[in-house]
Amino acid sequence: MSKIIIRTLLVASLLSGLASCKKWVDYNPHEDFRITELDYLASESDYRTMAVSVYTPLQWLNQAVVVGEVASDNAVSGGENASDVLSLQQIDDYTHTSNNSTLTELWKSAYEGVNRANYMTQYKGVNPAGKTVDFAGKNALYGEVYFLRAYYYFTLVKFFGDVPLFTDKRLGLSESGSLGRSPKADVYRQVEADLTAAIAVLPAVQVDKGRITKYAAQALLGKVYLYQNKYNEAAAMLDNVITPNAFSLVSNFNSIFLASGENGPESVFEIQYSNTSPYYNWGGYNRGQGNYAVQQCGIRGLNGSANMPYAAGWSTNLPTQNLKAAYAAGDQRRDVTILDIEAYKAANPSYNITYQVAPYKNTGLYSQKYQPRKGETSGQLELNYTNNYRIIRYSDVLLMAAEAWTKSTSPNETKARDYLNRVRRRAFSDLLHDVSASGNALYLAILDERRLELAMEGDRFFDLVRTGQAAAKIQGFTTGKHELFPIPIEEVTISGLSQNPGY
Amino acid sequence: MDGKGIQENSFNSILGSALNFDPTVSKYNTVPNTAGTFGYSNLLLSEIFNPLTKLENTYNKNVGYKLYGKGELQYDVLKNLKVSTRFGYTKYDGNAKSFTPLVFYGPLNVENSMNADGSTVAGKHNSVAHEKASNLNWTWESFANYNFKIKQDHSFETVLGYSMSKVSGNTAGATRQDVPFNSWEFADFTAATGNNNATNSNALSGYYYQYFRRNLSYFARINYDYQEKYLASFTARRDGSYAFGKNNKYANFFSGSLGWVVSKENFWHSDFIDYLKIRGSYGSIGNENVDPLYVSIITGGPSYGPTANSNGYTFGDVFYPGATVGSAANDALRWEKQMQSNIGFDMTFFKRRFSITADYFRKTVDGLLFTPSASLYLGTVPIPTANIGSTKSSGIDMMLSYNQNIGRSLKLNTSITFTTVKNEVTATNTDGTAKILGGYYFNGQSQSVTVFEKGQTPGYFYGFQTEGLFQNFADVAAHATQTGAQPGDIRFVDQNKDNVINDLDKVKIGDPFPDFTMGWNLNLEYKNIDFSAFTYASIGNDVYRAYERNANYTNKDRMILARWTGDGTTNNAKTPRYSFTDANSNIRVSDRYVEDGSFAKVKNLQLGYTLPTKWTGKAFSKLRVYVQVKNAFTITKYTGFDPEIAGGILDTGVDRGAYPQARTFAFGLDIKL
Repeated sequence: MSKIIIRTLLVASLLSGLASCKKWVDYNPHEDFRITELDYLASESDYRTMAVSVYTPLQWLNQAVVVGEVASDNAVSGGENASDVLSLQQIDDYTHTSNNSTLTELWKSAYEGVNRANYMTQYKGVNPAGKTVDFAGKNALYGEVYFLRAYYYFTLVKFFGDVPLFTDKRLGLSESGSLGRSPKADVYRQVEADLTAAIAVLPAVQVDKGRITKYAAQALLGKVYLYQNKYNEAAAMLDNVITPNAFSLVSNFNSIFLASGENGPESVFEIQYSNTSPYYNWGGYNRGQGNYAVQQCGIRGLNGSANMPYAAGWSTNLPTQNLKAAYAAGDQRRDVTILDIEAYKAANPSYNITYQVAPYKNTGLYSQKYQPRKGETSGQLELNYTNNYRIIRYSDVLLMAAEAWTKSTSPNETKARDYLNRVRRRAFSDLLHDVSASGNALYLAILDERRLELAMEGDRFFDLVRTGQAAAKIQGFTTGKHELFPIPIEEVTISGLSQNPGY
Repeated sequence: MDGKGIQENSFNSILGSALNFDPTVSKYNTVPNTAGTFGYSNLLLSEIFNPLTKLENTYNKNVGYKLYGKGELQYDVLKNLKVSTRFGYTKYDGNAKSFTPLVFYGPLNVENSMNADGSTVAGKHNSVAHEKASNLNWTWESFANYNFKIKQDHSFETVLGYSMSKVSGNTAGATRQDVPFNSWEFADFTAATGNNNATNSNALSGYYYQYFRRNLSYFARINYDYQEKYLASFTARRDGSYAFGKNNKYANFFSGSLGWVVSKENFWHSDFIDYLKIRGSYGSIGNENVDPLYVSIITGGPSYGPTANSNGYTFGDVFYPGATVGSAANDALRWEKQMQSNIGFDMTFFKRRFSITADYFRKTVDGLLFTPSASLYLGTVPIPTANIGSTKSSGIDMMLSYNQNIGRSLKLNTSITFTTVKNEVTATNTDGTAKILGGYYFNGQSQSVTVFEKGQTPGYFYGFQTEGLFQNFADVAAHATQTGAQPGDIRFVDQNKDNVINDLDKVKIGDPFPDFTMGWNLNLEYKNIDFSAFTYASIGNDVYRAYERNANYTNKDRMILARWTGDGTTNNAKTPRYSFTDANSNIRVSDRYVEDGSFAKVKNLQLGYTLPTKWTGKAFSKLRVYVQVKNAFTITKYTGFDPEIAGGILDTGVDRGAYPQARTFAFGLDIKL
């Protein structure tokens, strides 16, 4: 090559380099094939798809049910030893502090739910790109979003009391540390407002099973009223669910908790779990599509013949003998709620059952309602159990309504007894166990019935607290402190939130 | 390049298992008709395994190829003006494979994938994973040099130019289950037989991702020199990065230096000092090691990112993919600027036998780039990187060396270095109240031990201060309310005197940075024999012992033998009573785990012998044999493996079971032809 060509080449390359410089450090996420918020919420389908993900954190709240039982007189933490599942051990032993991974995870998950709902409401009118996307059913879709936000805040307020409250948007890094705790009453007011808005637009029936219905919203609002002792409002609201006869009690109590019983005639609100998109991330074991709590409560080292239905687990969240003893003879709920492994083994010799006795806090009992069963998980087996949480069953609605009617300023005990006895007749399959009490005896009978009916479903601790029975029933419970769980340590240190009394 | 790796630095690594595994287990498995070469525990049933079993079942292999090259064109435009363009590149291709076999950990272990009889646990699979990575990095610089002199003695060198660079790569991987014979020999995608089906969608999977970075710089430099007496230089850069938002893409960086060789002055007449230079410099550089931040929407199903920010839901039995915000923007993000200035001198004296170099330096980092901890109520979208604050380090750096020939055959050359540094966070958020937490570890609970906070050492240890042990119930009753406390438990200090021990009582309990460091280098040559040694010492650095898993049946430090066993037995807060339930949470972050990590290490010892030429003949011009010991020994009071624990800004000094530096014995030959 001649010198001239080289020189020309050099000069040309220098100039072309300089010319392209300006754009060289520009960046568009599309170069990395990433969708940005300006690309999204551009169609009805985008809105509907994003609303699906507002449901997702419901699944991450699976430990809320476990805590609601372990903290109560219904269950002990169990596990491998005193240092296994320490966060649950401490809750069981009433030595829990602000450093508790289970409570922190619940806090984070509920707030992710709030932020996801807020993002939807933030862009309800116009999307991030400034366009309006209207479609038939948009309001009904937002009914689901309002319900979910209410559910997340209700979870937060019942666990932690006063909590940061925001509804205008998804928060970003610049809002870190900017919020204080809002009074419990304000949080409840927002929950009521969201549920009221949801009820106004939601349909009574949804084509997709597990989608929020108007009844689910009414039942939850009834519960929210009950937690505030607003008995009149609760009674009226819960009757809205009962009067249309849209639900019925399933006569075989056990069938409710089988895979085939999911979203059945008694189901008002269920958190849906599945293994249709199996998860294998131990780094976020709580945050898959499956119900992690099911694996937790299984029997250790369980083996047996092929037709023995149960799969092995980790002996956590074990029912107490106290719970077992609470059931009267003939109550079909006892053996559905509690699996007495030795009795089961003796009753079914053909299964050739072998298992390892729970190594810590053994009660010999296991939670049958959510026991891991063969064939109901896949992929990373521990993380993908499909068992839905029956969060609000019709029997719960009946018992809540019964309670509200006894405590209402214009009580209707006949109605209350009727609701209560519907639940008892199903349990005993006869009329002989009807309750005829009235006054405070009736009220206490209803509370006792809640325990028997809903044991191991996550309400026990919160029922004891809201009805003032916790100190009497729970060993280690300190009045004035343990009604609420501690605010996670990070929120105290990073966000400067105040701590709950006593922690 | 070829390699194999094992896990380290966490309780569930192989090293973590070695530290924490049940010490009563025999090395080999002696139970007849049971799978597994090594012993198992019937007490530890999850998480921590016989490290030998883990090691035996760790299979991975990495092979990499690196190719680099450079091309340059130069054009002498005028006598003193030169234009150059230079292109350099590095190409790297990696190929990795790992095999996760079926393993039997013991009959009661809940994490078995193999039964005692060698059969597969129902639903479990072995798997092989392949990953291929391909990277290309290049830099293209173009610049002009112009050198000139003014009046003979004033020399100038100037440079003006720009450079563009790009880092890019992509990675593809595939995983397949059911490797034949559960064996590494057949661990390959081609031999594995897994196929996805209705109950197992993990049998066969693949992934691909790509990435790039782009940078641009303009630069100019002037060097000035007057008779080699006065020296000055000035550099200016304008750097641009694709990673920052529109308004913050570019940042300017200046540096300059001045020097005066005093000993070259005509007035200088000293027989004692041979050379003296006084100098000062200032320099700034930038850091842009972040990815662009923007609000992305992730669609589909489960997420396997760091925050597992999953998507989608099931209605009935049908999975509905979802969409949610997957990352956050930070429009304020900008270049991190590191500025260093120092002033000092170089001096040789006493017939050039001694030399001293001394500097006072000051380094500030402005807009430190870091992913902060943030309020949990922001939800689970990953927290974006931010400019979290500024830090300042200052200190002195000195080196004194001495060399002399003693007699005709002994040569001595030795030097001592001495460095002190003081580190401080000078700014965080606008009101200076931010606390950023880090140093996370797990000892039964997730714990955070380090904090980044204004006015403190970056990443100082933050926790409870202890004051001995409760000897009896009267002690417990006399102390501030401490939930769960029993005699024998640690008494924590009620810092704020509110009569209750809680998070508000946490204080600084340690500092991972040394007060000073020293080095000593010694070289001796005697005739054909040579000897060299390098010793390094770090004084005053604290280490936080974070490798103990602390489960009921895990191994314990021998310190536990001195534990509290009754009133008056011991008042040492490092040795509380042992209780399985630990209602007092003796395992919380406290100075119980802080140790003085000061150390002196003989990093290198070498003894050599050069063969006389009469033996080697003419074949070699030099033939030397030597023996060498690297990391010969360490003097330290630290009870863990190695007190020298490096880490990022919030992980310095936190020992989660870091792999200690190996002691290496080497024998070598130096051959010169």
